[in-house]
Amino acid sequence: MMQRWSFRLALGFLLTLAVLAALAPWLPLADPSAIDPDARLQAPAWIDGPVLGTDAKGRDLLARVIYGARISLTVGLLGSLVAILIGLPYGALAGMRGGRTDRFLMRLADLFEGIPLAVVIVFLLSVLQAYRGELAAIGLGRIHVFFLAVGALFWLPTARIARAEALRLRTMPFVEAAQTAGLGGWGLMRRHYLPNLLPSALVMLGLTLPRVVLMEAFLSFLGLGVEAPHVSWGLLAADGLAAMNPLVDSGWLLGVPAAFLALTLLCLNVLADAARDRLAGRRVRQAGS
Amino acid sequence: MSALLRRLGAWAITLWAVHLATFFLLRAARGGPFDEARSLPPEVEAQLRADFHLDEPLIQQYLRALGGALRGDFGPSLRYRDVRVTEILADALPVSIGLGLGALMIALLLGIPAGLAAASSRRGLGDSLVRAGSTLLLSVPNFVIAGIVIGWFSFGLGWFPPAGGVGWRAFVLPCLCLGLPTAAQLARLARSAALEVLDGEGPRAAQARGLSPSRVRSRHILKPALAPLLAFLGPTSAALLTGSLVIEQVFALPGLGAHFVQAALNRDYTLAVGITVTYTALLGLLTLLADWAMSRVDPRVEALSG
Repeated sequence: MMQRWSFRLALGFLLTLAVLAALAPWLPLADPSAIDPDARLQAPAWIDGPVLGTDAKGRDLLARVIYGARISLTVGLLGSLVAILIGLPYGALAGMRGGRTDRFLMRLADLFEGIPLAVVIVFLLSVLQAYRGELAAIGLGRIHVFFLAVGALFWLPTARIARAEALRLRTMPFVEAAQTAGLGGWGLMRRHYLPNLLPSALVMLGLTLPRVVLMEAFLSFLGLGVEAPHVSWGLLAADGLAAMNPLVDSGWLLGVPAAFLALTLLCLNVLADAARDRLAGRRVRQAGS
Repeated sequence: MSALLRRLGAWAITLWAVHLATFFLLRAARGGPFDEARSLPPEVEAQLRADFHLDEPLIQQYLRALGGALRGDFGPSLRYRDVRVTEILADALPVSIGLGLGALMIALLLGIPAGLAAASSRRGLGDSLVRAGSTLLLSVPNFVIAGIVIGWFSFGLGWFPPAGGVGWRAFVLPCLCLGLPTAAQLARLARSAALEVLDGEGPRAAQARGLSPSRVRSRHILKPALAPLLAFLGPTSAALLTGSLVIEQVFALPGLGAHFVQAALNRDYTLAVGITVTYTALLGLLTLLADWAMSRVDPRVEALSG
């Protein structure tokens, strides 16, 4: 009972947030990048004035958080999709083929595991700083590079889940039947493995999304993530930390984006847990209450 | 023995691949290490490039760097003139290792007891508190934790410096910020591992054999529950390395992470390559250590030492 409630609450929060983010340009919000020297560092005021306060340049924090949701949620979703697009076929192939292919692919994955990938990504993004002009000319921003980098970082866990699932499918009668009937590798993959791996892709999404959002915050903090005039929650929180100072109270600049981040990731975790329980075929235990 | 050799071989290959990739990536990037001194006369810059062997063909530079790296020498830093990368590493590594060890201690001392307490009061108040707390800690970037901790302990109570500082006081807050998310992760793992053991037949069988409750607890509940956590040491050290990039920056600690971010942005080729290789080596060694310890404790794991 508890779990169903938290599931609905989490889903409701995320959907509301997604709708708000999608409709942001049409909502009665202040311009998120309009600088107002007369309204600097105003604390949150519930009744009149800026609901969530303003930052050191007088920009409205509510507007910035909602616009930040657009970027943070999109980045999380697309970044996770890239990771799944790499990891799912990789793991499925290893599990489907088994034997030597499996051993080779998994050994390769182990090698990747030994690389401090976050370090390599910081490296890569800072190298690409120099090519910003060229990338922009072919329509690529740093954000696109970020998606690829995230895919490179987070495909390993998804590949391991996909492999485990594929290994299980391999012994299923319908797969064996299809194999006996002469269906080739590609046909098996397309007809039997990929469709049956879709539910676990949902779990992968649930597991990867929070990590991607946090990764974006990490890189934004280092100055390698989202760039102005765009805003993301990570960038807002990093700005909030930079604005901290013992003399002037500006705690809401850190607190507000951090609260949005935490609530969103909390809700995503609830959904991911629910999806995982469903996948494992476990009945939700009523536990007396 | 062969398993250990194979792992060491894989480790060596990874190190070499990372060295190769970082070396060529940085060289491929536009902008040289001497950019900042904008109006360097061409002959001076040519002299500098010659001094640092940057005028040689790329392949020759690579072989020189590889040969040096094999001897544990990453050449001179291109930014901090007259200082060798190895010296910077020697200065920065103790800072980072101290930070990492402190964080690990905090994570172990907070996380494991919390996880076990949660497991022993399953679905009770303690369990809910631990689960909610750990989920919350894992849902914010660690620099947010840093902000809260600084606001509270530095600005509010004035116990510790918000950044910089000397001696052990400088390390308390950074270790806390780096350790808390790991503690949360450990608490969740310890909780689920303990629940799995409690739900199994082991403890009941031991009880039926007439063992004393304290012996049942230590040998048949704690040991099997904590053994799997050893395997987590590898991913944990990776997470601590990543986290230290940010935490060292926030608290202005002169560790590897702070140097690395600066080096990558400044195209200090030799320093950036040296730190990346050091990170990779550390991660590999810690993972190997974790797997070895695991194989000693848990007989089901393929032995690395036999």
